[in-house]
Amino acid sequence: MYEPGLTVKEAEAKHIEDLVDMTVRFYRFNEEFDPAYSTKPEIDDVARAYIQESLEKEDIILLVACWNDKLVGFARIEIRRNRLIKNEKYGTLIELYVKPRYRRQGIAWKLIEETKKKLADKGIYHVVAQFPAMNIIAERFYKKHGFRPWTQIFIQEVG
Amino acid sequence: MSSKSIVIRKPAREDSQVMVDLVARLKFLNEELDPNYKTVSELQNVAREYVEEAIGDPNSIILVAEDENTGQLIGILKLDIEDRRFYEPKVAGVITDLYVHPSYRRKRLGVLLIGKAIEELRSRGIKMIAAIYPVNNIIARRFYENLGFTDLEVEVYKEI
Repeated sequence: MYEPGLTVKEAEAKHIEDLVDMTVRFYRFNEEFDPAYSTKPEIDDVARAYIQESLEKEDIILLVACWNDKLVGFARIEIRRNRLIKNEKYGTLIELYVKPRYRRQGIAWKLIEETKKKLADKGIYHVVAQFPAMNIIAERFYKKHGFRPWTQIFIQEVG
Repeated sequence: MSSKSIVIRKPAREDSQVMVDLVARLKFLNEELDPNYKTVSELQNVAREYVEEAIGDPNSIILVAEDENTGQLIGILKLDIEDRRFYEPKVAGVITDLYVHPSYRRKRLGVLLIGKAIEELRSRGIKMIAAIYPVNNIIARRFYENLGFTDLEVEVYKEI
């Protein structure tokens, strides 16, 4: 179900502050799942630079979901490449976030549908989602929308 | 940090602010887990009231985890003593809040906090411990399952 007031479009400079806020929220949430996601104290400043750079980079798609004029969610997709596989480029959803009070209205899925369109326009064949292994909400969401497990990432402290 | 440098204790007056921060972080986490946990805008103030009320309430127990090396408070547990008069045992300690700062996870601080809470309950003659957490919090689920807790009640919600 999509609400009529909802639009998904490419992010612009005027969205930076909202995007920084949501990026920080996203990472604060991930931090809860594993200490290897512990955020830096200066995360706000780092997130600002991160978003600014993302607006400029060719291989990054940054989408915003707006409810009328209000920004309620975003997706940041990195186009990655492995030249040894047949469809060598794929788009990875590194960050996907919808503000809590706007959840359960299909906004995240709308962001993904737009992502798929943008990737298809670039001739890219796959969309990939990554999220903390313990995030069962994300896992359910992607499975429900037809994603399948593809690559597992394991981690261990060194030394 | 090794768990040897961790002390679990009752809170002191000057611990208030960090306790409020830890409680607020827990409520923010819950907010991410379900829209029915959308937090109020004055969360910090409400968390302060909540902590102060709990400290003054003889039916609540608060424990904090401190890293003695740094003097930092890194975890909190709050439980309420609950009447369950229809059942045996007739009283239980219900953990309403358990939070360890993300940088200090995977060091069994949660287990230490629960161990101390159990000691505290036993000293009051209470023979049952329970915990409430959001159904979507799989980390909490696994944690309590590993400690031998089992599912008991289901609470359902609907906005009207």
